[in-house]
Amino acid sequence: MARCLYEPFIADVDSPLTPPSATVPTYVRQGTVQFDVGGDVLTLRTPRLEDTESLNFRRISHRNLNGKIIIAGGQSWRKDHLFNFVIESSCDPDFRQNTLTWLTSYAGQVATFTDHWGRQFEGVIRVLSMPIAQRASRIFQIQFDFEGRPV
Amino acid sequence: MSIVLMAPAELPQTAIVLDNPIFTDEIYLQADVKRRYAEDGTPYSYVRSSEGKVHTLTLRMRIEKRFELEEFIRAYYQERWRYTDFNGDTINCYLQTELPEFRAIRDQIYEIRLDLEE
Repeated sequence: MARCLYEPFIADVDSPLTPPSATVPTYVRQGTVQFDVGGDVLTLRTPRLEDTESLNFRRISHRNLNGKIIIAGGQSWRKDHLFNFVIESSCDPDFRQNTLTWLTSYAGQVATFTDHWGRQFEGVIRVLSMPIAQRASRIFQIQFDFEGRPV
Repeated sequence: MSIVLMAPAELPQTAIVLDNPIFTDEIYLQADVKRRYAEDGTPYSYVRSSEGKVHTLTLRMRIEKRFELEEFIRAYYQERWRYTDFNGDTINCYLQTELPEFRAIRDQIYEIRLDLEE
């Protein structure tokens, strides 16, 4: 097993659990990220830095009287990914207004999100009060949270 | 040097190898101490502790390994893991981190902090 490559060792055991994929996923770095609601697409530039992805999986966690942790859950329970992106984009001055219009139109609706590795997620934008700040002439910065599950 | 994560601990189905934690790894005790005073001023201590310790790892990895660890967590989030550290010591533990977060620190380089509780 290598330390840098995608190479999990999966044993042949009788288990109800689904192991990770044995082969490396074919993800290709994209130049943009996209939100799509019913064919109306919002395209943003790929974040260079400051992107985080949290695994928001549901389970039950508590402690007994001795302080020992006990965890329970089911394989079918919710497994959402939570993204936080900070994107700087060079664009025309209408960008900010168009983005706000798009967000207002589709608030709370299920969107298909294609991230910068080409993975697709279905979910909603969590924070609508996101800042869209102008950093310099024709340079805007946008920050958003998105929660969804892989399609 | 490397560390190994296996799951489920009782009958491992999947094993992955990761680089050593950056800086150092931390171990801390899991204990809760409360102090209470009776009306006459006598102090009492209530201790709730287990022998289990929490191992905190900060791992840095390339994108391929990040996807492998993500798949591993997805598959075994609710299971007990078997963790072998760089000294060869092995413990059985749960992932205590509730929202494991992959953070991009450089282009295609990610960092994650894992709390593993015995």
